[in-house]
Amino acid sequence: MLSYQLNIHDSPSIRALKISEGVSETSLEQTIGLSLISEYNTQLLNMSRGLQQNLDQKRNAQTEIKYLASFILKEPTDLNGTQGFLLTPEEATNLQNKYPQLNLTQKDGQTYIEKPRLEAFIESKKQDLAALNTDSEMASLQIQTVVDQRKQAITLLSNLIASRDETIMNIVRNIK
Amino acid sequence: MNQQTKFLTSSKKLRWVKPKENIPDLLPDSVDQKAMEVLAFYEKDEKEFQNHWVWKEMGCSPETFFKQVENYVESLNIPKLQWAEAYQKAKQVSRIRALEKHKLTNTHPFKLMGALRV
Repeated sequence: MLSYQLNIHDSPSIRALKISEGVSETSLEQTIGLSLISEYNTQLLNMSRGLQQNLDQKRNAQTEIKYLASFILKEPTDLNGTQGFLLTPEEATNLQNKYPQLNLTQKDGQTYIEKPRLEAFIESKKQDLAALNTDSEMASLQIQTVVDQRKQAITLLSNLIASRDETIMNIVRNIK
Repeated sequence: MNQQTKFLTSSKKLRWVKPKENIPDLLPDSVDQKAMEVLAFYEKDEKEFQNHWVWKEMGCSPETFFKQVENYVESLNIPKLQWAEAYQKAKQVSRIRALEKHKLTNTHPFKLMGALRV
């Protein structure tokens, strides 16, 4: 049995739960149970925000992949032994600004994107997307688990309140 | 008919035919769907939590209650190490119970690892 020096704290709702009367092992467990509600609450808030961000990132990644993959549908041109796709000036500017690492090729005053480079870039984006998906699956599992943990902790609080009410009712019955 | 629900009935058994795609395979939408369902599940649970009868019964908001519990725990003057150990143990028990509820213990270790990472 654990015992600690107790100060009567000015917390009406906590005192009302009758867990402040001597810190036995049971009441310590109850106190921990109540503290856990707060922790689970914070965890859930952060995890749900994280999952929402993950969803947004995935949508962006999917849009990017679709956009990049749309160039593969074009008729390829031979660029000195390598295949490439001809870009309109708007497409070239857009790609240059968004993905400078793609290193577009100039030939006869036209801008091209090399097929192998584009495919490798799409592959790396797909890998990023796969990583996001894994994170999303894990986050989903974690949220479900913590929701259940919070429910357990709330049940403890409900039981404490119910037992307090029963004690009061017993006292009232005895007085009658 | 939706492209994804097309089936070819050349043999007696229905068999799935992957639609021709010009765009490289993207990862399945089902993951997104699952995440959205989980978020909706959390939002519903959060609403229930905020409106739980215990807060009315205690006459305070959850946030006030958390603060009161925190102050109360401080007032107990429990040695930090002892509190941390007991707290960790309680968390583990609670996690195992929650995992058992979802029957995650029998699923792929990868999933279990994810759930335990909290």
